[in-house]
Amino acid sequence: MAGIQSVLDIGQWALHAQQLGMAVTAHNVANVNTQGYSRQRLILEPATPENYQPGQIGRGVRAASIERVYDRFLGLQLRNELSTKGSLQAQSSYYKQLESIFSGLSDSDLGSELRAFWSAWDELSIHPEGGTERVGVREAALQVASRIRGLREKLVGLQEQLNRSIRVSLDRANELSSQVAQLNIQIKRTEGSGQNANDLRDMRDKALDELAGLMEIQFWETQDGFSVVGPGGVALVEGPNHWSLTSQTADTGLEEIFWKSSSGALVPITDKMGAGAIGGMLRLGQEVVSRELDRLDRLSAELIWNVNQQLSTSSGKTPFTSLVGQAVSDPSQPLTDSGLPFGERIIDGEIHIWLYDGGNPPAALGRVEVNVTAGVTTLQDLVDQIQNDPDNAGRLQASITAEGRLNLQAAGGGGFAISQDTSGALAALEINTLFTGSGSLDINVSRAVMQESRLIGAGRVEDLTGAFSPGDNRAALEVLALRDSPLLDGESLEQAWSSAVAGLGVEASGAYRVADYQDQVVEQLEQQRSSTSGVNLDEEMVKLLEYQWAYQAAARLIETGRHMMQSLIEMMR
Amino acid sequence: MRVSQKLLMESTYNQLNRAGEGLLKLLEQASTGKRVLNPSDDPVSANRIMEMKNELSRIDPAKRKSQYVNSWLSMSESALQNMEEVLVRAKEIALSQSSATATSQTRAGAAVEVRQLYDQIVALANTRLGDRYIFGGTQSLVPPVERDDDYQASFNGNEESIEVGVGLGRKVAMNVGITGLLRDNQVLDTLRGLIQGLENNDPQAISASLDGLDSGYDALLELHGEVGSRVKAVEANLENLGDLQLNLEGTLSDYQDADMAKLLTDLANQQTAYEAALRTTAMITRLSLIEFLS
Repeated sequence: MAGIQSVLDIGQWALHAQQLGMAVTAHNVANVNTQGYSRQRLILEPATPENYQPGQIGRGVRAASIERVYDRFLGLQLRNELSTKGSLQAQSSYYKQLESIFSGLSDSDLGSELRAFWSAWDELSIHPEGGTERVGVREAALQVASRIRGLREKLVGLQEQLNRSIRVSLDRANELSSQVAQLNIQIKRTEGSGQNANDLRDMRDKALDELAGLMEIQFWETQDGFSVVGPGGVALVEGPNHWSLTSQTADTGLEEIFWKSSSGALVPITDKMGAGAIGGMLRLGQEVVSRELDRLDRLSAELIWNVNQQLSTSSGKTPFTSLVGQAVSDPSQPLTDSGLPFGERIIDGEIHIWLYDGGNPPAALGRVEVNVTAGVTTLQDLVDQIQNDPDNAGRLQASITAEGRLNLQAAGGGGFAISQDTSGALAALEINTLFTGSGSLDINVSRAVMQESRLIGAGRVEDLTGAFSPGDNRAALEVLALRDSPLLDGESLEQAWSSAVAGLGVEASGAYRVADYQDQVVEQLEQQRSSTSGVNLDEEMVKLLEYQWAYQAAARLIETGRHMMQSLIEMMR
Repeated sequence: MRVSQKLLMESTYNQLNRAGEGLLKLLEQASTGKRVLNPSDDPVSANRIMEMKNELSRIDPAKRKSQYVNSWLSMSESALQNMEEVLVRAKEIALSQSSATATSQTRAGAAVEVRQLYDQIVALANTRLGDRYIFGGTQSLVPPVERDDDYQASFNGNEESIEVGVGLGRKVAMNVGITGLLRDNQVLDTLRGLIQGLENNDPQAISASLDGLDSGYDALLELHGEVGSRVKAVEANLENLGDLQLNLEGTLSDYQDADMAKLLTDLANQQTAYEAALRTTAMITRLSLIEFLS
C-alpha cells in the first residue's frame, strides 16, 4: 500500500544508498595513489515495484552491488608485455655494467695495455742491448697480465651478481605464488558469501603483474580462483595450492633453475625460462658473460703461447748460465700429457742448444741436439738426451728438480743459448719465456723474468755457427710481428679486443633501444588501464556533490513525510 | 579519453624524466667534449675510433725510433766523413814523402803523424752511441777494431745489419759494418804499410800505398753515400709520419669529438624543453575541482 509510511521508507532507503555512494567515493579518493587499485562504483537499482491501482508503484532505490572498473583483456595484454619488459630491463642494466667493465673507449682498457706492451717491444727492438728497455717490457707485460686477470675477476663477479639477482627474484616469485594462492582462498570465501572481493582481486592482479615481470606465466580463472602455470608448463598456483622454484649454481658458474614438485623432486626448467627478468638474466649469463669470458681466455692463451714460443729461442746480452722451467706432473709421462698448460701444442721437432765459453764476445764450443716426438718424449728423455750428447762434454748440466722442473745449468764458467726449437717443447716447459700460466685466470710474468729482467731475449743466435751477438734484435722484431698476426679468429689480438668491445656496443645499444621501446609499450598500456581503472579526483568530487544533493533531497522527503504524518495526527485530535 | 589522476601524474613524471635524461646526456657530452662516450652510443663510430687509436698509438713510437735511427745514421755519417779526411791527409803525406825532396827526417816525422792518423781511424771505427759501438754490426758491445803495438789490427765486429721498423711498415737497416772496409779493403793494412815505408825510408813502399789509399777512399765514399741516402729516407719517413698523425687525429676528432656549436644549441633547446616540462607540471598540479569548490 502506498501510504505515508512508504514515503518514509523510500526516503530511508535513499538516504542509505547515497551514504553508501559517498563511502565508495571516499574509498576511491583515499586510494587515488594506490598502486594497482581499480576504482569502484556503486551500482544502484530501483527496488522491486508494488502492484497497485492504477499500476505498479516504485518503492525507491536499492544499492545492488559495488563493482570495480577493470578491463580484463587489457590486464592480460599488459601482463605479457610486462614479462618482455622485465627481461629487457634486466639485460640492459647488466649491459651497462659490461660496458663499463670493458671501458673500450677510455685510455685505460686492455687494448691500451696491449698497445703499450707492443710499444715496449718496439723500444727493445731498437736497443736490444738495453737494460731499461727490458724493464719496460717486463712492466708492460705485468700490466697486461694484471689487466686480463682483473677483467676476468670483474666478469666472474658480474656472473655472481647475476646469480644472486636470479636467486632473489626466484624468492620473490615464490612469495608471489604463495600470495596468489592465499588470495585465491580469501576471494573464494568472500565471494561465496555473496560479497564483491574488489580490493582482494586488485591485490591478486597486482601480484600477477609482478610475477609476470619476473617470468613468463599463463593463467586462467577457475571456480577455485586463478591457476598459474610457469615456464615449461609447470604449475605454480592451483586454487589454494602453490609450488616453488629453486636454483643451484652449476660448475660452469651459471645458475640452473628447478621446479620443486609436491613430492620434492626437482625438475630442471632452465632452458624454458623465456621472457621475464629471470630469463633475461639467465640468457645474459649464458650467452654474453660466458662468451666474453671465453674470448678473454682464448686471447690470453694466444698471447702467452705465441710470445713464449718466439722467446724460447731468443738470446739476451750474454749466454744463459741457468734456466729453470715450469713443473710437470710426472717426468716419466710424455710432455704432451704431463699437466703443462700448452702441452698439447707440442709437435715433433728438434731442439738445438749452443754452448759457449766465458769470453767476450762468447765463443761457440758446440751444439747439443735434442729430438722431441709428440706424445712420446718425456722430460726424463729430454734430460738424458742433453746429458748424453757427445758435444756437451759436461758443459751443460740438465736435471729435474724435486718439483718436476727442468733445470739447465752451465758448468765451467761458460754459458748456453737456444738456437732452435721446432717442437715448441721449451715454450711449453716455460724455459726462457716471458709469460706463465694457461689463460685469463693465471696469466702472469714468469718467475725468472720477475727476478731478472735481463733474461728477456731480444736476439737470436745463429743456428749453424752459434755466433752470439748481443746487438741482434731479430727475436724482438718477431715478437713485434705478432702484433699484426691473425692469432685469434683471424684477427690480431688488438683487433679481436676492439671487435669484442664494438660487438658488445652493438648489442648494448640494441638492448637499450628495445628496452626503451618496450618501456613505452608498457607505459601506453598502463595509461590505458589507468584511464579505465584509475581514480579521477574531479570526477569523484562531482560524484560527491551528486550524492550530497541526493542525500539532502532524500532528507527533505522524510521531512515532508513527517509533516504529512503530523497533519494526519492533528486532524485526529 | 578518461584521464585519471594517476595517468596525469605518471605522464608528467615520464615527461620530466625524459627531458632530464636528454639534458644529462648532453651535459655529459659537453663536459667531456666527446660525442661517443660508450661504444653503445654509436657502435660504428666506436669501432672506427678504436681503429684510429690503434693506428695513432703506433706513430709516436715510430717517430721516436726514426729519430733514434736518424741520430745513429748521422753519427755514422760524420765518423765516415772524418775518416775520409784522415785518408786525404794520409794521401797528401804519401804523395809528398814519396817525392825525391823528402828526406829520412821528414819521413820519420811523417811516420809519427800517420801513426796518429791510424789511431784516429781506429777511434772513429769504435764510435759509440750510448753503450753501443755503431760500426760493430750485431756484435755491439765490444770495440769492432783493436790494434796491437805493431799496428796489426784485429776485428771483433760483423757486417750484420740491424733492421728496425720505423713505422708505416717500413724497415731500415740503421747500421753499416766497418769491418769490410777496414779489413777486406785493407785500409788499415795500407796505412800500416805506409808507416813502415816512412820508417824504413822506402819511397817505393810509400808510393805503393797510394793505390790502396785511393781504393779505400772510394769504398769509404760509397759507404758514406749509402748512409746519406738512408738518412734522407728516414727524414722523409719522419715527415710522412707527421702528416699521417695530423690526418688520423683529424679523422679521430671527426668521429669522437662533439660539435661544440651544435651541442650548445642542443643543450639550450633541451633546457627549454625541461623548463617547459617543469612549468606544465606546476600548472597541472594546480588544476583541480577541489580548488574551486569551497
